Amino acid sequence: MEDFETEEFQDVMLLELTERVEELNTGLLELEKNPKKKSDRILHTLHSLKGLFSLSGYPQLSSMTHSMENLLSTIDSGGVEKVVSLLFQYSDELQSLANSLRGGKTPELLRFDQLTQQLASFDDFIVNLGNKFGIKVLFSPDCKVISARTLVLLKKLQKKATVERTVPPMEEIQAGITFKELFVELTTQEDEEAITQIIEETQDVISANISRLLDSVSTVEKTSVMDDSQEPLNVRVGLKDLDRIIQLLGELVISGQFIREIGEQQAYSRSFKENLASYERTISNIQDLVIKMRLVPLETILTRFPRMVRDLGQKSDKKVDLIISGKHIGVDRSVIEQLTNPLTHLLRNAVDHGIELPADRIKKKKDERGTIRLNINHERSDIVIEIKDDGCGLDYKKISKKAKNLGLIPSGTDLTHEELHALLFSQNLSTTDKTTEISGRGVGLNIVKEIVEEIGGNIEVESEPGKFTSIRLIIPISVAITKVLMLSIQEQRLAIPMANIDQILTVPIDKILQDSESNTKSIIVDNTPVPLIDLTSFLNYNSSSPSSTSITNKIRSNHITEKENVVLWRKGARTLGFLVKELLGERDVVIKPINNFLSQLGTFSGATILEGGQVVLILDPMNFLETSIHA
Amino acid sequence: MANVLIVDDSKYLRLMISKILKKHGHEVVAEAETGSEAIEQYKNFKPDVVTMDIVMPKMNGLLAMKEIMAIDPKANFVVVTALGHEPLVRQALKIGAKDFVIKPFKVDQLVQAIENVLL
Repeated sequence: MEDFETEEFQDVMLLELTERVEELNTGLLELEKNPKKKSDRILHTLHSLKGLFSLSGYPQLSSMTHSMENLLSTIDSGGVEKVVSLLFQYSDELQSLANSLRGGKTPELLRFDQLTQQLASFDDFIVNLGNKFGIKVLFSPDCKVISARTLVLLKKLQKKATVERTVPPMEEIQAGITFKELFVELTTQEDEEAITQIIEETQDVISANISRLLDSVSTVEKTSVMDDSQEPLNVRVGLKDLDRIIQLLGELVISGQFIREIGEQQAYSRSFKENLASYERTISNIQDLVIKMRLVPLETILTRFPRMVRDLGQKSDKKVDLIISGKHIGVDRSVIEQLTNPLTHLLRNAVDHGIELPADRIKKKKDERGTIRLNINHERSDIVIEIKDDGCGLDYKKISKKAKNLGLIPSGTDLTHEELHALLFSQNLSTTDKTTEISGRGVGLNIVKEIVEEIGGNIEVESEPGKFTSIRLIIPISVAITKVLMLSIQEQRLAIPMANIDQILTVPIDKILQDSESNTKSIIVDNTPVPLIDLTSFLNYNSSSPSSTSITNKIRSNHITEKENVVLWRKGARTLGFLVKELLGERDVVIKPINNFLSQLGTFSGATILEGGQVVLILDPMNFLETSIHA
Repeated sequence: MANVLIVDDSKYLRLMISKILKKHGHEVVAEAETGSEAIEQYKNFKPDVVTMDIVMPKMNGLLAMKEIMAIDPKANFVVVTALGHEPLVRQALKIGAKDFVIKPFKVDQLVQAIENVLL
């Protein structure tokens, strides 16, 4: 047993415990909605928990979980509601157990004893199980009416037994599908022989193969074995190791380049060349693979939310459904953990400030149940997580008034919705007058923004008063690898992150408007003026203070061609154009942090190293956006 | 041994079913040609089992079964129908029929179905 007390085991145990608790919550929410449908999933979870506890040195919890499992599998539908609430308590206790273990405290198991006492009060609901049988029935291949025949057979069986489950499932049989073999699981007070006789007397039945099942647990074990066989084997790998692999691959790429150079100097043979190419290809394949390994489906953090939204709804007397779509979509491992807090915050806001009380919703002719949708989608190289509630929408007047009261904007100014959205996320601005237990004072939207921007994402808001609020988090799929657009400016290579690049235009030189007073350039795109940043002049003459507002305009005449490339970069409602001489195309790069001096300029967000060892600086368009606003 | 009401729009089939049942010791208390007639006869004779054709002119067997079940929820039906009407059979089973035979059926299939219903 001592072996199990090592820290590593404890970590794994905690990880599994947390996962199981989330699984349990998901299952319970389902069961609560649909109490008639007994959840095999919950039984499976309880079964796994039981095993976990017995292995990790908590025999009393193990036996208690066993009782829970038994209770749930033997309870009639009348008792389900009570069991669900008990199981929710149980799940809460498990959560606090996990918390105290994580904090290195001795877990308090006293409250589990109380739950055990409550378990005893369920005796009334327990059905005498009798025997449990699994029967395989084989029909004659000549039988043309198998589903109808099965229905007759099940009717006969139901006189003497409770049919727990059939394969194919009842709905399919009733819909008239054809099949050759039927599996029935039933509980009965009758013995094996009586049941066999009923089945064999049925027309078109060739044979019946009956076997006694020990109790519900044995079927759970069966299904879990089936589950395992469908899933590929997994191994847990530390994130640090993956990062290290990416770094090492980068070094391999560079040394490959040296080998190539040495080979070239020595007029290398064709087979050398081929082998080197294959070596480089392999490295690039491994790189792709490692990137993919870092992706984790968002599901891993989303499972906790339905329970949370349910509880929040109950606390505030609101009826709220959370519908999640696209949870299989993966994001980078290092990003996923950081998303939990912003999502929690936004969901709390949606329940607290978005969804109205049932009575108010009915007045507005809405369904009394509010809906929050958490939709996850791929868009270009980003993941978009949208949280959309069908609640009361943003109260723009209130936000504007509040901002004026707080002196954030001068009174008398009218801000666009877009600008008010920005305020929402930039200041500690709350439009709810009273502090609620659920989402506090609205403090924290700025923190949401900070976290999202830290992982390279941004936020978009859309709302229609009275109808909905939608908040979209736009997150890069992988932080390790970024797609960039490579540019060449006077033989100097630069890159701009592809994220937020809206389009690339080729503009005749006479369409570029020049304001001689402020020395700025702009073009008209879709009837809107877009400020232009001339990278050539910017980098030639202004490298010492990029944050200064004036962009000097000294394009040397020999650089003027008839057409210019304009890279349109969009963030929220703002668009910037970069005037670029030469575009070298898209590529995936690993961004490395840059040293203090360069990073202080603010112009560059990082650097990357190309195969030849050449360093390419990566522009931070945000910085230009900020300077252009003040211009 | 049971008292049986035979419902079928084919006289030939009624005769055949009647002969088979009698030969196996059952009593045919009445016959009906339509759904509405079946309801009347059921009220008159309170049979133990009804053999019920489904596809009949005027009131079909399913409707007749529903009405009879409304009078006597314990009524026993064996549905007799042609191959290819399986969806109707499943509907009949849902309404409350206890067994069925598919035309053309073998003698012992019908007998077994009647006995099954009486179990």
